[in-house]
Amino acid sequence: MNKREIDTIVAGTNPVSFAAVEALPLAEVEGDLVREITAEPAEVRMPNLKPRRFRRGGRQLALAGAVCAVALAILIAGGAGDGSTVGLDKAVGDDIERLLKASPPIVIDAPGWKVEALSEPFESEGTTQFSHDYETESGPETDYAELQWLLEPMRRRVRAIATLPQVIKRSEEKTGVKMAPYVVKELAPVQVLGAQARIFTHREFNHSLSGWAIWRLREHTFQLRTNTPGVAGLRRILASMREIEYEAWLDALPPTIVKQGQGIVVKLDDVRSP
Amino acid sequence: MSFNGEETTPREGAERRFARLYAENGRHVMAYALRRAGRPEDAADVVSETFLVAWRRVEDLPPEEEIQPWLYGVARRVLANQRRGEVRRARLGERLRQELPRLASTDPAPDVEDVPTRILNRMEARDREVLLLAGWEGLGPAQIATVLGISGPAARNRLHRARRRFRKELERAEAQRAPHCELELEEAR
Repeated sequence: MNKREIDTIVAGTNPVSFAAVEALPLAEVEGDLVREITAEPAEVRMPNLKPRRFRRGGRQLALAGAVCAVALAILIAGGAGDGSTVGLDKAVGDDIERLLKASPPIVIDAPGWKVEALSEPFESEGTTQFSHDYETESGPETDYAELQWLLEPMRRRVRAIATLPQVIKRSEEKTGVKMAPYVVKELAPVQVLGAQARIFTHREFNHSLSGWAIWRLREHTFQLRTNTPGVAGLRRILASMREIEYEAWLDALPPTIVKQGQGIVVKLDDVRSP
Repeated sequence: MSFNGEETTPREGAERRFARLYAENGRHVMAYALRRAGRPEDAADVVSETFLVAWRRVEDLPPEEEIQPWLYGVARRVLANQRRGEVRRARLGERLRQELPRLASTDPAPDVEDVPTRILNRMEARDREVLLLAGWEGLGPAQIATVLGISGPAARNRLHRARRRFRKELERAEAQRAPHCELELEEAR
């Protein structure tokens, strides 16, 4: 018995396969964890920020920035209504501009829906988060939708979703780690932003998400996920998606939008008037 | 400072590096912790603490090829502290602590262990550890050395000895099992 065979036997005793862990729908939770951690003090040398007026394409973004002991805070104010237009470190301003430019100007054009956050984890790939607060008989509720744009081919994304149940089943069989039943169902396609979107729903895996829509637009594959209950809710959101002019999109962003790119951690609590 | 041709501040650069570090290694550390921690919530704490350590040392992280074993090494120490009761609960990652047990509830250990598992459980902790790092995490001697904070040759020797002992125990178990099977067959006749 050689060392490879021994390693294989030992590997067979592994109670938790990496595939099972990789399949856990924890991306959002992990995003929170990363943000929590990076809000902690770290051994980072802070630069001497030199205030500088930040302009873009004739429209002035009023940017208020401040450096706190541990966090860099950026607030984008909608217009210069309060007359407090301030400068911003060029690198920070450029980063925000790059993030804004790289984000597709797409909104959910329905009452109550707003852009909650933008993030760009990788070059030319990122996420826009939307939310919708409303009241029900049992109290306030929030629906959210997450629009992801990726450079990978659409078929790869579809395949990843379609094969998830098998991946999870195999993991369960191999590791004994039980997960909730995972059933993916494909529904009739719908038109989204002039493209045909494939719709998938699943149940009882992650109760907070009810489905996916995937479509191709120009060089990106788009994926929308939402916790809005029911397929009708998902279709309603898809029907409300609009691609708008860049300037109008900037106006649609709320004054206190938090940009959560990997290089831009924003903590509104830390914002101070410069 | 520049990142992908763009100017960034040191803080931004650090946050980018850290987020990428997590994206590339978070699930590996989670798997490592789930395999070893008694409960998924403890594994969640190990993940949070491990990456908090990484963040605090973000300016002083090892080279890319050593990052993963280095993180395992941190996780190993967090686990050891946890077992000693020195760390009750991580300060961060409350949502992960709530979600992980819901999604990855591990069944209690079966009453009857299979032979390799039984052998591993009876081995000395030092031997068991290197075998699991090789078999479960797929690490080579150099990476195991990083995890354990020992030299490369020491890790290689330790792994070699552990494999030899494991093989011996496995052969012994097989030898004991064979006559037993014959007896059972005899009884069945």
